[in-house]
Amino acid sequence: MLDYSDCKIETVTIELRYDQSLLVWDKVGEIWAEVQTQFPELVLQTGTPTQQAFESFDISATIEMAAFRASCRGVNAEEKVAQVTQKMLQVCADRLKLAVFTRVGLREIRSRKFANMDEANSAVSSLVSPAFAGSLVGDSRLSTFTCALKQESKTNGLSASIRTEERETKVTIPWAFRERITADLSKECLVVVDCDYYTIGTTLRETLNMEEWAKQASRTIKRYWKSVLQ
Amino acid sequence: MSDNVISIDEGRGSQTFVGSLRPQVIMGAAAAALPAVFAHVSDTPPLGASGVPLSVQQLYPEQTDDSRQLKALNLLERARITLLDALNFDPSGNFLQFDQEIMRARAILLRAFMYRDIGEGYAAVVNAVIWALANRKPGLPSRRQINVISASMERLISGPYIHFDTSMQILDDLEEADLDIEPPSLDILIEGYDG
Repeated sequence: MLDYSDCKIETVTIELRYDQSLLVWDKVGEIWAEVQTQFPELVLQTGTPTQQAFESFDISATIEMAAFRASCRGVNAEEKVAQVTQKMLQVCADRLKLAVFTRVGLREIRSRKFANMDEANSAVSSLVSPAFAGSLVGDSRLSTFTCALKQESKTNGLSASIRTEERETKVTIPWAFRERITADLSKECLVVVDCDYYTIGTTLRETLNMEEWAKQASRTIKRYWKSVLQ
Repeated sequence: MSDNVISIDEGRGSQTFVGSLRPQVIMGAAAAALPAVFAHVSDTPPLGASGVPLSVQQLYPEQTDDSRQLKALNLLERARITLLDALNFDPSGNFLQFDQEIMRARAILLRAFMYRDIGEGYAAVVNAVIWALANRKPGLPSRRQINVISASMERLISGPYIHFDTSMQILDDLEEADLDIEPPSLDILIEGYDG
């Protein structure tokens, strides 16, 4: 049986989209200098005219011409990502003269590890009828499971998916170091719970506070999954 | 001391990898601690055709009682209604009842000012209305002035996170309605400075 409370947060991402802003080309240095006053741990990863990405160990933040987003992971990822995006919202809205956002979204990805894929598949196959997940041809067995849906009202939408996946991280180590460093990362068998809650329609800057909005977006996502994964 | 540079290719099984495909370069041997980059939310639908901005209620449909925003907006709405209630009384005939409603509205606004961390624009407007009511002359504010204050409250309720510059326009509207929105001590200080 799969319980939502057993699924640990991998990442929480908040993204705000807006009409293309060419002011990014003029203001991006100022924007990042100000964001770094509150989050000095952020370090430049890529800086191109169309995208600037900054990262720290648990924060990833990007500004583009038509969107900015931040991802956080680990303990308090939900609070942290809301704080980072609130700061980005304040700075970007002022510097890029953004009064309207075309989409505001929060995406939360959680996962739970299992010993093998059979266990992972059996944990989620209980969500559907036994016939649906049962052996279909000969002695076949369930190898992966994916279930996704999307719901929309006039103002908000939610897309959710639950899937099993075998995750493998490949490390390429330069020849000179292979003697000293071994890249032996084991495969992980996971159930991944992925949900995206977003606004439909335009959102005025003057109605938007990311910490308030993220709180209730997270609450909506939790309520949904708790009703599904009991 | 030389640094070991290791490149790592991110593998996420069946999950679509939509982040940067360039090699991640790190210092030392902490490859396993690399951040997972898959932040692009590209699998969501395009924006709906609706051009009408979302209202505060639509944007925050599930606010709980502990929400500071909800508390602040409720106080603003209460203050606005209380001010409009004052219009039921003619200050020339029922001065005490009229003034009581105005004082009640001001008391509610003082509580609303406790949530001034919502933003500089919010704080500026609430502060201005508080002083406008404090500086009122007997029998005032007039119906017109109350309507201007009510409109400024409505503006704040529909957009509590207004920019400070935007709030200046609202303050101008209040001053144009002959409301004195500055604390009297400020005038004394300015006079003293000029003198």
